[in-house]
Formats: sequence, structure tokens, C-alpha cells
Amino acid sequence: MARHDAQMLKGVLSLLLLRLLAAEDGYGYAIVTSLKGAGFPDLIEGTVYPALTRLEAAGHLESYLRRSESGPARKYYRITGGGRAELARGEAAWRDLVESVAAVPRTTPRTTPIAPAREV
Amino acid sequence: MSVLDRVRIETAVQRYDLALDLYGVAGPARRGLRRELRTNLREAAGDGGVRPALAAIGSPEQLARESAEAVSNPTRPAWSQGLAWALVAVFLYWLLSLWSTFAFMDGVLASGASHDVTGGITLLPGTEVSVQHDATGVMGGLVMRGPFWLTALVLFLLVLTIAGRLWRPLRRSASEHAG
Repeated sequence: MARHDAQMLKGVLSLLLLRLLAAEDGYGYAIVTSLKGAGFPDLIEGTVYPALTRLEAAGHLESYLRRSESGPARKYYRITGGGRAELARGEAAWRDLVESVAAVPRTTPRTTPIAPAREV
Repeated sequence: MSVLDRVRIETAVQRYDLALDLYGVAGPARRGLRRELRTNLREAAGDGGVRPALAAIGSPEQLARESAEAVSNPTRPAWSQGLAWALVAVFLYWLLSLWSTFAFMDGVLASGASHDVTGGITLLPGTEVSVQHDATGVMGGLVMRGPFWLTALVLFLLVLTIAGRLWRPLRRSASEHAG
């Protein structure tokens, strides 16, 4: 599975989390597992958990406790109306960025002519 | 999960909790974050073992710092840290008293006095050490009076104030007045 640039991944982590939770509610460890399975094996819990806390504090996510058969109740996250709006804004920004990057030519032609050698 | 694994997880959770307190996260939010981390760690440990689960969260203090940035209240005192250091300070003060008592007894033995000796220790106000030394042996006793307890209380409050940063709420009221 492809490895991703850590800095770029950090920049789009909120977008990834909002996309995932827009589809289905989830709890911390399950979210990390889903993202790893979706092609982000480099993501670790130490990065995802604070990001979830930040999104909840910003009002993009809300949480509730759900009973678990295998242990204590888990804290589930679900996306809010504000989170959906943030997701739409983030996706639009992402598309713009991808289009802008694609529009930049891969190689830039040399514009400065080489000066001819002068005779002394 | 073995007892040792549970202890490892609980140690990480407690380090996380203490760091959250240090970074000004209030009680209810801290309890929630602590419970969430414990549940996630236990599940991750069940999947792949405790060591990888703990490695994946990195340093609990760093994790707490990042979580606290979202939910912390910088005007809240760090009560747990203040209390822990204050108790350590009082314990050390008591240890010093005990040590000084033994030093006093050694002094009486060295002097060769064969009668009861009673005295105080200059730097430990309110303490009275009595030593009975005769041909059969030596006995010592330490009496702690009011000034001793008062000093211990002042030390406790002083360390609690400094380590717990109890002045933090003043910033809030100052900023409210300024606003």
C-alpha cells in the first residue's frame, strides 16, 4: 500500500475524518482501522485521536456513548450540520488545489538565452 | 489481557491524565478523554498486543498536549500536580525532622552524656528531641508542637500554590476587567 507524505496527510486529516464520519458514526480505534484499510497505513492513533478532539471542540463532530459487548461503553463520533458544511468547504478547497497543481506545467522552458562568448 | 498489560495501559492513561491536568483541561473533559483513551488502547491491545498499541499513541504527554490545545482552559489551576508536589514537600519535611532527630541522638552519644538530654533543632521550629542515654542503651523521642505543624502547613500551601499555578484564575478576572 502506498505511503503518504506525513505533512500532506496531516493537512487533509480533518477532511478524511469528516468524510468517513459523514458515511457512518465511529469511535477512535475503529476510525483509525478504517482509515488504514482505506489506503492510509501511515496514520497512527497518536495523530487521529487529537484530531477527533479538535473537530469535536470546533463543533464539527458530536459524541455519544454506546454500549459495547466486549467491554466498557465506547465514545462514538457523528458529524454535525456544521461538520457537513466544513466537509463541503474542505472538499471544494481540495478540488481547487488539485486542479491548480495539475495546471502547473511539469517542466518550465528556459527563458533566459545564453549570452554568446565575446571576443577580446 | 494479562495483569501486566493492564498495568502498562493504566500507566499510560494516568500519565495522559496528569499531563491533561497540567495543560489546564478541566475535570469532566479530562475524565472523558481518559476513559476514551483507555477503551481505545484496550481494543488496540486486543488486536495486536499492548506494545504496538502503546507505540501507536506515542508519548502520552505529547498526546495530552495536542488534545489539550482543543479543550484546555488556560485559567484553570493544575490541582493534581500541585497536590502531588505539596505532599512530596511535606513528606520530605517529615523525613528531615526524623533525620535531624537521629543526628541529635548521635550528638548525645558522641558527647558521652549519661543523663537525659532535651533540646530543639534550630531550623525545625516546634520540635523537641529528648534522649535518654545510660549504661543499658539509648532511647530517643520527638515531640512536634504547634510551630512545626504550622510550618508544614505553610510549606504545603506554598508548594500547592506554585506547582498547581493557583494564580491562573486571576488572569481570567484580569482579562475580564480589561475587556
